[in-house]
Amino acid sequence: MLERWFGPRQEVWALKDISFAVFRGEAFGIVGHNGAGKSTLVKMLSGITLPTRGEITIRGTLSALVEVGAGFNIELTGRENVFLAGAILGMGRSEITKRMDAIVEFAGIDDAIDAPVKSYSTGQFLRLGFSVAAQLDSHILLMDEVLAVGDVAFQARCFDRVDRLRRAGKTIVLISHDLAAVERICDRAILLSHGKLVLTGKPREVIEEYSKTAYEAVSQSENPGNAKLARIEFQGTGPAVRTGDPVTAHVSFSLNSPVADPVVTLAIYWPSGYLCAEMTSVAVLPAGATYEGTLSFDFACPILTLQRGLYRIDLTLDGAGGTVGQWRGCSLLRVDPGLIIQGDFYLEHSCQMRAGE
Amino acid sequence: MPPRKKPFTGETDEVDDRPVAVIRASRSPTELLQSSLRSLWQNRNLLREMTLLRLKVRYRQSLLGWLWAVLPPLVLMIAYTVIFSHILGVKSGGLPYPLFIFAGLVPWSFFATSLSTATAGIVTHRYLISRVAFPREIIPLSYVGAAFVDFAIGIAMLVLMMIYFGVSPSSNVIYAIPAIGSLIICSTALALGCACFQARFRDVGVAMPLLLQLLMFGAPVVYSSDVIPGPFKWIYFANPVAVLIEEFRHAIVLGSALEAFAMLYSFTVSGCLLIVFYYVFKRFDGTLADVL
Repeated sequence: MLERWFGPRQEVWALKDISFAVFRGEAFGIVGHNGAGKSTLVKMLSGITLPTRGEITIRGTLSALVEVGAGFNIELTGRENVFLAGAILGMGRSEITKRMDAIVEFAGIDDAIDAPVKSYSTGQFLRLGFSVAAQLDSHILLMDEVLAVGDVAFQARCFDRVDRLRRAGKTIVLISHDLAAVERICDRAILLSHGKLVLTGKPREVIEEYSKTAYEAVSQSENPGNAKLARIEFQGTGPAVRTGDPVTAHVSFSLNSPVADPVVTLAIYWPSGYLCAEMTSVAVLPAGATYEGTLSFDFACPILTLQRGLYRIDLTLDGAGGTVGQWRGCSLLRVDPGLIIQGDFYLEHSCQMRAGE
Repeated sequence: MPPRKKPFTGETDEVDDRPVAVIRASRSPTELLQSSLRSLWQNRNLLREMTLLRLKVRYRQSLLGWLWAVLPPLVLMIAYTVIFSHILGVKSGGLPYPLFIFAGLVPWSFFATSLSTATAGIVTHRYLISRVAFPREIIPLSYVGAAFVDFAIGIAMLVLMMIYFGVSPSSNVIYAIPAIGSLIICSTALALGCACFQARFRDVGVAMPLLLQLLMFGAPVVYSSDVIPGPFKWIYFANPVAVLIEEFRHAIVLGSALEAFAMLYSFTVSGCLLIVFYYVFKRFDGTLADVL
C-alpha cells in the first residue's frame, strides 16, 4: 500500500540484470548512450537511490566526485560554502579547515573565496563545487562526467589528480562520454545499452562496440535514387589496416542516370564524431565528361597516418549539377596498431644525425 | 600510463581492513532504524552546518537583520491583544493578556515554523538530493533546528515580559523542560512526515498554511482552554499540540503544576509519531531522488 503511494509513478526498469566486479586499484569505465542507465548506476553506487532488487557490495569508502555546487547557498561566501559542501560530503570541520588551501588552489579562485558565491562566474562556481569533492580521501572514487567541467587548465588539474590517485592505488570508476578519456584512464570497461550490460572488456573493445552502435544510429543515406553505393572497402597490406602501412580504399557506385564531372569525397570521422581527414577525387577525372553505369574509384594512401581506433566513413558523390548522393556512416574503418606511436597521428618523417664538428 | 599498484585480485596476503557496505533495498525496520541513526550520528557535523546555514542566510541582505527574529511575535502579540482582549473581551485567566498570548505564540511559532519550512525545504533541495548521498532527514531537521533558535529567542523575550509585568515564576517552571522537550519531538516528527509526503504530493505544501491556521485555533494559543466545556475537554486535549502549548504556558507564566497524565500522554504520542515518521521517511529515502 505504502509502496504504491510513495513509489515512483510509472514503472521503468532503468537497469536490469547488471552484474560486474571492479577490482581494487583498477580504473573501470562505464560507457553507453544517453538513457542507457549510466546515471542510474552512478546513483545506486553512490547510495542516492536504492536498487529495487539485488545488491551492491562496496569494500572501502566510496566517494562520488560530483560537482556539489548544488549544495551551495549563493548568499554565503565561497569559504562558508566549502564548509557546507564538505559537511554534505561527510567531512568534519577540522578536516575541511585542513584542506581549505588545497581546495581553493585546486579551484583556482584565490581571493574570491571570501566573496559571496552569487558574485562568482559560472566557471568559478562549478570549479569550487568540484574541488571540494576532489579533495576527498577515499578508497574508491566515482566520477560521472566530471572531466567536462571547467577550462583547459582545470581539466589538466583533474587529469593530474586522477593520475595521482591511480598511482596511490585508488580504485576509480569513470562514467563518461569522453571515449578518449575512458581509453586513456581505464583498465577495463563495460558497455550499457537500454539498461542492460552488453559487454565487459578492454576499454578499446568496449569503445569500438559502443562506436558501432553509435554509428548505426547516424547511418543514413540521402540520395534520390540516381546512384547506388555498390562497394566500399579498405585494403591494407595484410588482413588488417595498420598505422604506417599503405592503404587503398575501393569505392564504386552504380549510376542510374548520367552524371557529369563526378567527384567523390571520402570523409573519415574520429570516434568522437569530429571530422578527422578527407580524401577526394577532385581533378582526377577530365572536366566536361559524363559517365553512366558503374563508376569505380581507388583511393591510394601510401602511408596511413591515422592512429589506431574505429573511424566512421561518410561518402559524398557530387556531379556538375550538385550532390548526387550522400552516404553517412556507410562504413567503418578499423585501424589496428602498426607503428607504435603516441599522439593522435603518425607523422611521416625522416631524421638525419650528424656528430662532431 | 602512470605506473601503479597491481590490481587487487584477492589472491594476495595483504590485509584488507576496509569497511564493507552493502546497498540493497529491503531491510527489516529495526535494521533500517539502527543504520539510519548511526549514519545520522556520523553526519552530525552536516546537521550543525545546515542549521547554521539557515540562520546565517535567513536575514542576510535585509535591512532589519536579526530584528526580524523578534518583530513578528511582538507585532502578532499586539494585534491579538487588541482584537481578542480589547475588542472581543477574551479572558486570559488572570494574567495580563499580552503575556498570556505571548506564552502561547512562542511555542506555537516554533511548531508552525518547523513544519512549514521543513516542508518547503525538501523541495528546495531536490537538486542536492539527486546528486549527493547524505542522510536526507538532515534537511527537515536543520529547519527544526533553526526554528528552535527562534524559540529560544522567544523564551528570552517571554522572560523579559514577565519581568516587565511583574509576574514571577514559581518552582513549577521546571516543568517547562519536559514540555519543551516533547514539543521538539512532536515538531520533529511532523516535520519529517510532512517533508516525506511533500516530496510525493505537493498538496502538503499547498495545504500547509490552511492546516496550520486550523490547528492554531484548535490549540489554546490565542484563548484559554478554560472556555472549552468540560465534557469536550478530552477531545480537545487529544491533540498533543494543544496539550504541549497548555503545558508550556502553565509551567512558565501561570506557575501551576501539570497533570502527570497529560504530560505522559503528550510525550508518548510525540515519541511514537517520531518513530513512525522517521521510519516512513527512511523507508522511502531510496526513491526520494526519483520522485522529488
